[in-house]
Amino acid sequence: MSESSPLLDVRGLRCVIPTPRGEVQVLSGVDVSLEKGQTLGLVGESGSGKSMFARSIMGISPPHARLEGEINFAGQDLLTLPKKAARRVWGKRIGMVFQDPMTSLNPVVRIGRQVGEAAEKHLGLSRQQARKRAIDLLELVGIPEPAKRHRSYPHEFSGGMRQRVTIAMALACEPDLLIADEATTALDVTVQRQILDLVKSIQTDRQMAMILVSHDLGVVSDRCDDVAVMYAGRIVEKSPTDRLFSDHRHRYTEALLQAIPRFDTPKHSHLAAIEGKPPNLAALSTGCPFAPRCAHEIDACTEAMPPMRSAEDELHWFACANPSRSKELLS
Amino acid sequence: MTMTKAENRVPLRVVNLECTFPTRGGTVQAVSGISFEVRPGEVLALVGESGCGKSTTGKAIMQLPPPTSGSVEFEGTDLTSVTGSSLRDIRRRLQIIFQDPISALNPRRKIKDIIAEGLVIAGVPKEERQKRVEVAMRQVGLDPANGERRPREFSGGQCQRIAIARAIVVNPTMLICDEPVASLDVSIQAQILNLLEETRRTYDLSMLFISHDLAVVNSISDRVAVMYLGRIVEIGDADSVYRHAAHPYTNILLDSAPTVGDVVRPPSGLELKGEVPSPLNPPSGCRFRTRCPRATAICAEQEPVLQEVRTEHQVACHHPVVDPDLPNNERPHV
Repeated sequence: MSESSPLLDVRGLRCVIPTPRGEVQVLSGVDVSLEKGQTLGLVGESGSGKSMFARSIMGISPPHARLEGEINFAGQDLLTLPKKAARRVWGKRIGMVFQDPMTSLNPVVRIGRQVGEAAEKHLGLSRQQARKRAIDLLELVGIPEPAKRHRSYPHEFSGGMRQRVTIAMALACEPDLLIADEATTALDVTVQRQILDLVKSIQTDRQMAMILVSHDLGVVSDRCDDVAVMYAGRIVEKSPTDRLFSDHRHRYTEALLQAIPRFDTPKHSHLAAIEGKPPNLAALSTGCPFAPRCAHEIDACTEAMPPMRSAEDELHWFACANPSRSKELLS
Repeated sequence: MTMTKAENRVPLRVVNLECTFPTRGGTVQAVSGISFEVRPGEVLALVGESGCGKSTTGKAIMQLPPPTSGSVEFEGTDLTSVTGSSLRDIRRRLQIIFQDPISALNPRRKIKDIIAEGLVIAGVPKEERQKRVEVAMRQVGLDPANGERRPREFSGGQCQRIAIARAIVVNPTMLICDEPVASLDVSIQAQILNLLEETRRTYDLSMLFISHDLAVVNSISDRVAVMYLGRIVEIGDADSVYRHAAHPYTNILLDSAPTVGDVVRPPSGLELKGEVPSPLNPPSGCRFRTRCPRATAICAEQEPVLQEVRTEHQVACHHPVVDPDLPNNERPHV
């Protein structure tokens, strides 16, 4: 990293949420670094911490959550920055799109106003200028007749169109980083593809960095430079996208890929399901959290948490004591 | 697995099924005259996007509520013409599993009572009930010792197992699965799909599998029916439909499905136009024509009917996509 520091550099991020039954560590030391214009896919099952990670960056983790570590964005640590200064980053330089467009839109405010609001606040535009910008943005995200439709209310739009509106909102201040948290999960596949293609083309045009959070490996597979797999609050494997699918090392990644029904799966065949269920974060034992469900568990797995180590090069990292396709073992 | 096909009777035959719902804005045409059959021991999948009528079809078959018109013939009896106790008797052989397993189970009841309910209605004596509940619980991978617990103590995947146990305990011959894995995590999804497959074999069930997920459907079904806006646009042998999709909509649907490097067909290059039209006022002729890249004048005038494009594969389209270099009815090895 001699040339310049990355746009986003998260180091050792921990998030602890106190509950009546004790503290739950939902993020246990997450490291992520993202360059300008790069796309990172973040995949994991429910409870893996992927959404909590996205929310931590955006400063919207639950009120009692305790965050530790560093979230360096463009050289500033958002966790130590005064709230007022941090607010100039959230919503302006980092935009976020959520899963359910209906709950992220105000049902009684016209959509043009909602899209222009951030630009009015952050960029100091007048009402008029903000409206004009909102119309431009609605056009950019493919809303037909934006000059007319900006006066509509959210209920007048379909789910896909609403999600386009929330994308326009997130883009209002030309952010450097866009976080899409399961942004297309609630949508039909044909709409999903349209939305993902739209986001991708805007991202490429504007050299915007993006974090695509999804439970669906298929969604991240052809739209991300890198993919990180999360399990029980940790990143367990991270690599360039094509390598993750062809040469994954972590046993969880392997099991996840084998469990998905594919188009080339023979009919009525037995799927390689992962037995058991995701771990209870309040009662994690020492060692790898996937060990109790892993078919390749060895003694080392339960003794201590396997450290992150690199595969062939610095681009591919994984934390598994008994990795798959282990070339060292074969030779 | 040898299947005893004692009679060659079709377990389920749906003819001209129509479901409409009056609303203040007009009449919603959820399902508009669809016909299909499920053959013995077969899994037929209904696929399509939200609002296409696939779930309404599943519920109409169960008479929940009965369809507006058309007939649902189950093992030789038209369900739309029977009521009361005879419908109750038939429902024992025709069971349904829903998408959200947690809301499908009464939170106040013990799971052994939830599973036993169908048997109570059937008048099965208590000792036998207990035995059959235990067998069903073991079959779906639940410990019968947990029978005293209530649904909230179980995860989503476990609740779906309970729902499956409740369905199979009455010895059905056919199972309707309405998006049974849509709300589950990937790792749990595979467990439930395996369980459904196992159950199907053990009980020799026919199945109607309703889903929006084409990859899931591919792993479990023998035949596929693709629905769009209340109509079946393409139906046939699953491999044939997936590899040689003839309807432009099926092609676009398959192109859009996220894959993890498991592509079995080249993308069609067709693109969808506009938005789904309102079911209050569906387009004339072909319902897909307003969004179809291949639509011409005839599509607005004449409604296409299902026609054979290959063996065991029909499509309702005036301009179907056909592989030009393949002689009809000849399937290549992929």
